[in-house]
Amino acid sequence: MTCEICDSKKEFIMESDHANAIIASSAVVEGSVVVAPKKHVAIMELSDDKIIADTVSLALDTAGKMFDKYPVQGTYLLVNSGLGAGQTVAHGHIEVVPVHKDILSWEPLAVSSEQLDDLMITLKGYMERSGPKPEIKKQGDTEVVLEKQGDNYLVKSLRRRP
Amino acid sequence: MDCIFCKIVKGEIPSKTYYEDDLCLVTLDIQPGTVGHSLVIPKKHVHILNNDKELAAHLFQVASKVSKILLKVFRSDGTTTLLRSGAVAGQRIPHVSVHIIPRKTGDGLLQHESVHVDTDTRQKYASLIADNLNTTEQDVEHDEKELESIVEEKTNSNSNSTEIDEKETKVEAGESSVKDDSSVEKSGDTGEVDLDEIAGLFK
Repeated sequence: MTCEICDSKKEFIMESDHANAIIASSAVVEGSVVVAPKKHVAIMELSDDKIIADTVSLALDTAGKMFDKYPVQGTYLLVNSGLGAGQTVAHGHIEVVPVHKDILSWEPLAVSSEQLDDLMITLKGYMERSGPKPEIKKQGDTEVVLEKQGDNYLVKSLRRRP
Repeated sequence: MDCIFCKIVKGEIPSKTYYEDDLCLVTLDIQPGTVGHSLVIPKKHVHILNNDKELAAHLFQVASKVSKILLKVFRSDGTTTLLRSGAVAGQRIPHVSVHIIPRKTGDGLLQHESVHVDTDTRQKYASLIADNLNTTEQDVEHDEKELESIVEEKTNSNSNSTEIDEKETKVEAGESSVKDDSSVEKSGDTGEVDLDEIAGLFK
């Protein structure tokens, strides 16, 4: 399988247990960094909680370095999943963007309070049925998010489909 | 504290919250880019996430879960998850929030031009932030100055055509002018979309 990110090992600039970082060759803003799980997944949502946590951690380290080393005072952490969202690389990733000026904005839609109420009820039902919440274990004064065992039922059900 | 997200967390102002755990809640943005646009908000008042990785991990794990559901409920062609850090990046409330926005092909949302970054330029940026490259302090200092001049040049060239964005003074969860969109979907549309189908577009 050919993958632009998997095949760019020589260009990796940072690494964690489960993720790598590389300067983007095509980006929203020059100097952007792609932080991607080492395990190839087409979209980030197919990664498990442990890998998401590690990838986010490396993305935050990258953003911190941008604040220190680039002449910027803002960053985006951007995850585009799916062609419809503008994902152009077939390897799910977080793009860490150094921001000189806000370029990602939208004009608000007109949605009534009643529509939002209906939607809230629908989504609440889906969230309740989507499996256990990420587990949080208290350790002294700190809280540690533990990895869930396996995928939620939505992903498992997809795998069972012929 | 006069923070609109803290007030939502405390229940002092109404919201469209549909998920809650010990660390965060998920609510519908009342100024959505698309129907279903949601915000993951930490309960703790945090301005920037960089120093709280456990919280950051949890927010993105929940965001991933929300994204999967939005892909199914809205039969989306994708989702955009966005964390803005800093006022210059459009963070208008000094309390972290992660946006999850259902997307459709050609929705015209978040449009921007991509730039190609050549190898030499990538190397200059890499020398500033890489963990494992052999660069001297002089190299780094030189690259920093060069980058500053590039950014300054680009900022100046953009400033003449830049209009003040009045929306910056409005809060995301407050009232604002909205565009009319007759294509708003009914929330009852719960057609199924496979994650594998979204991912499979790349295969």
